[in-house]
Amino acid sequence: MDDTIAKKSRDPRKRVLDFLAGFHLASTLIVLLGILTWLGTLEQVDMGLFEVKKKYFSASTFWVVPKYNGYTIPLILPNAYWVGMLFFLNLSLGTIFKARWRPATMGILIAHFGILFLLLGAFVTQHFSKRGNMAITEGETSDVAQDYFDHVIEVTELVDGKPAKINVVETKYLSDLDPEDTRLFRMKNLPFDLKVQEYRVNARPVSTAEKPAQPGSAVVDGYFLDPREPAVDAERNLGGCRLTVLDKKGETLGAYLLSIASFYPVTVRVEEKMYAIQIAKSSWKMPFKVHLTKFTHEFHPGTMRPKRFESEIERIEEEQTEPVLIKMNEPMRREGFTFFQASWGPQDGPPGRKLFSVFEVVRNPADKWPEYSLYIVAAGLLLQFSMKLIQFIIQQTKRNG
Amino acid sequence: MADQSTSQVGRWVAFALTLIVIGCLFLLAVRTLLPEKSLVKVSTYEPWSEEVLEAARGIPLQDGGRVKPLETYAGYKMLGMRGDRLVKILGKDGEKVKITPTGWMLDALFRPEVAIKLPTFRIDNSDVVELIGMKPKAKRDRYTYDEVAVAREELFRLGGEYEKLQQGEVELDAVQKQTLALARGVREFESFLTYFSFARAGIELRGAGEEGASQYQRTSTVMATAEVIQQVLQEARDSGTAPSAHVQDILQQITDHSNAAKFGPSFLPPADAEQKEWATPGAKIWNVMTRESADPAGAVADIAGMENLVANATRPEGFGEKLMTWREGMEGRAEARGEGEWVGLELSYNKGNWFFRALFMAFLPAALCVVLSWVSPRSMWGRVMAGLVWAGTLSGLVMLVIGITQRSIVMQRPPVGNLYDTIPFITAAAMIVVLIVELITRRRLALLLAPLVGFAGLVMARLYEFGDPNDPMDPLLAVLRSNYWLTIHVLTITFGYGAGLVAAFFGHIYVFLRLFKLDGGDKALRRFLTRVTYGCICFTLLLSLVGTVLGGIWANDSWGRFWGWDPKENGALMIVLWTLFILHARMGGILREWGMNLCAIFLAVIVTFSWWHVNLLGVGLHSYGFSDSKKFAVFLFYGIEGVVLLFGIGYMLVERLGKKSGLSKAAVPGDGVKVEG
Repeated sequence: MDDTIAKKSRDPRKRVLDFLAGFHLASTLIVLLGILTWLGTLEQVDMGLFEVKKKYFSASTFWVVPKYNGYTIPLILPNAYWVGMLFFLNLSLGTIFKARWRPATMGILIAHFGILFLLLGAFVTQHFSKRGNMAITEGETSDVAQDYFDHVIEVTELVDGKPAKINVVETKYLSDLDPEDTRLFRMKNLPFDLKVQEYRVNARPVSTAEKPAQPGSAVVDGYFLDPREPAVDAERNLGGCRLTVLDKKGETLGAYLLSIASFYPVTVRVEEKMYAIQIAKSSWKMPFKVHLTKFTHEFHPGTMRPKRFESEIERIEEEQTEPVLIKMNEPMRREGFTFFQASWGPQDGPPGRKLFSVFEVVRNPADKWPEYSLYIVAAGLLLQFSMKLIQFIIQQTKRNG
Repeated sequence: MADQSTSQVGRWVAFALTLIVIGCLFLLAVRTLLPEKSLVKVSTYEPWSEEVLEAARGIPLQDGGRVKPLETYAGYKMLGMRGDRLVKILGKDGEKVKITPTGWMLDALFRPEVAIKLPTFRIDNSDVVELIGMKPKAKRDRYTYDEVAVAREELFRLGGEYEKLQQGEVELDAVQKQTLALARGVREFESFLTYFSFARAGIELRGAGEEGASQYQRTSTVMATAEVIQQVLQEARDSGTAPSAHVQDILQQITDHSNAAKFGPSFLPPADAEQKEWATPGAKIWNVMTRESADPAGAVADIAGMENLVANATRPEGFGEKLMTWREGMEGRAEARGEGEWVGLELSYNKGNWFFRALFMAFLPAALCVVLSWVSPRSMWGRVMAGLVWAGTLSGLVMLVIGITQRSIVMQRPPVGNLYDTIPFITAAAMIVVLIVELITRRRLALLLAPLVGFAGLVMARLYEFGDPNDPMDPLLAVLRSNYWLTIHVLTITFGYGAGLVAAFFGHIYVFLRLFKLDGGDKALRRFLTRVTYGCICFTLLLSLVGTVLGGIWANDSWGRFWGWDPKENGALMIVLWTLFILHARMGGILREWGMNLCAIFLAVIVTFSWWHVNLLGVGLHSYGFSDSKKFAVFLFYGIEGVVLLFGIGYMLVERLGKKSGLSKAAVPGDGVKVEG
């Protein structure tokens, strides 16, 4: 018989608890998570991973209307993020209040704690981890990682042609903008303000000589932002916007098109000072520097199948320099950051050309939590199922005489 | 009485169904062995002696990133072009001659004039034949190079066009895909035919003989004069004049020979230990003539050695010995480089042909014994049949394990690293689970399932190999080259697939027993079956959950994230979620006997989605190439399982309605009884 079911109560509070901690809710949520995972997998073919993650598995929406093969499926489902949250609640309440704490169910309880810890790790990762990449050419040093997706507007004061102070309009103030929106940014450290219009996640600056401007795209100096569909591989998106620089009285000082596709920032002279303005992928500084000594790549002989690629680096912290080898499956972990060997280039360069190595840089407070939760879950399930198996074998042995 | 007769009818329906399943699987398996309808006559064909074939089989070569025997290389090349591994022709006096891949490869390399008459190309789609302007033959008939050569130009034109489309990521239709595959196959076969043309034709020195006749020199002899030729060229460059027509002619011939032998098998291990790539004779010739060779004398000796082989190939006596001596030379060089260590074992694996033998010599007879045992299961006949099933199953399993182990040693990695590897491994894993269940329960139910599992698994492996003729033992991508993670993550997760399928098998048995009333109303049997299903689901959960989390930890070490919603990861998660649902729904009283077993059947659908279907989506980090036939097989499986589920659910509902309306007969006890666990 079932060991963990508590009897039904007539007390309304108890009944709410029974519902929230119950098997029926658990079963429903698990099936919902399964269906959402399935639909999210299929939809990746059309939408790409990044968009699917946003649609199905992020906290930003409550509901999902799935699509398959371009067709909308007439179904409104809750977002997997919130289903997961409810499942966490259900599992916590079920484990604490409903499960019977006794030796026979110890394995299940341990496994449940492991799963709770795993889900908590997923939550921490989703909300508190940061991901980016760092590309370094052999012989060079860097301490800046760049985000894959997030755009920022950087305003850099130039002193003697060199960057001095950098002011940043952060991603969170751009990401909710639609192309038809206008947002004014009061820059308290600068003698001017910025008006952002036509912010697009993916667009290219195109000359009107090449193509007539699209409706809704203003022409600036003979160019306009030609909108593109968000790329299936979201890191390929090249964001852009129309920027108007205003003095503090609101008078226009100049209008510009900013695009990640541009090689150079626009420059503005205000009150005898020069400023470079650009839209860029957001970047963050490391607490240490990384110097790429050598990058090595090898293919399986006679094929284009990669056999190994690895980077010999020096990690420079204040006065201390330490050599480290980063390779596939063997990242470098240091001060909360993890560096993974991700890519390299140029892949079609002539022999002897200097190579660059790309590291995926991750800061995740829950980096090791899945591993710890695995030990807990595995121990719990092994304990529980072994007990059941032994019981079954004993019964069968008795039965078989 | 009515129930008894219904049970008898059900028994024979189930008997017939099982026979049909075995028959279908058998037909699928033997389809790969079926010869062409009409055999080609090559009256000049002289089979290679066993001595020559024996020497040739083990010649080491580098291909696909590893050193392998010629036999393996030839086998996959033939499979890719012909769709099987045996050429049958009518030889001298109309006698049937069987040509193995090694013999076929020797023909192509050493006797191109014969090889072009052999039926080498399989073209299943008559549209392809007509598209390139040839006349279609009967289905399954193969085409000789001679026949295809007529349409060569058009074939290559279309092939080039489709190749460009494919590079532009345009999805090709079936005819385009097959045309492109044929063009590639023909081009590759041509590289074999011309491989030794440097040795056969030599270098013609026009007008150097008496009365202006041509003289012929070996290519190696001319290579030995590379320095002199380069000096002549340098002098011409310095003086601003063109080299003499005589020199230009020699250079042109050398270039042609080099180009003709640049592709095809890489037989020549380099002397330089730092140099990883083995060479073809074409590369050797080119490097010597352009003075890029680090060891020109060695290269000249290599080419001279091949010329000697070719000169002796037309003489039946002594060629085998010469070939063996040459092979030993190459083996010695490979050994000095620390390579080719497992060529011998791979030959033994090829010779063992373990999966083929297990399929046809063990699992098939055992599966037939399963069917025969149904005639009278509780009699002496039944016991004898059960004994034979045990014998067949165990011997098949042993062969399967030997094959998997040998492959693993040859590959120097754990047994599962690609999609093909998963099939024999999951088959073995599922069989082990089934046999353990049998050992615990001793009811002969699980036993009867075991050979069917083995049979179905190995038919699938065979179909996969024939549908995707690339050597699955070739080395893995950098990210997968971790024996630690391959062992603990991949083996765990694939074992989980196996356990999930076994749970589904028992679910099927339960449903069929109920549908055909084979259980005679035995409540204990139903409960027992459900408990076995439940146990297998628990085992699946344990393996899948641990395997999935381990996969996440591996991904965290290689890609910097524990979970990326990659389709393969999602597939594994779906198995975990579904098994969790089953267990929780059972605990919550939502699922009972019927529900548990029907859900177990649906588990097979989810395992199939995770194991196969996610690979055909073409997205994510675990995406593999997928042929249309495999897509069809996946959807066919969904369809069949859908029908089984519909029948099961229908029957369950009818039973319940009957019960509620009080019309239920005695044959339905046991339903609704909660399973103890």
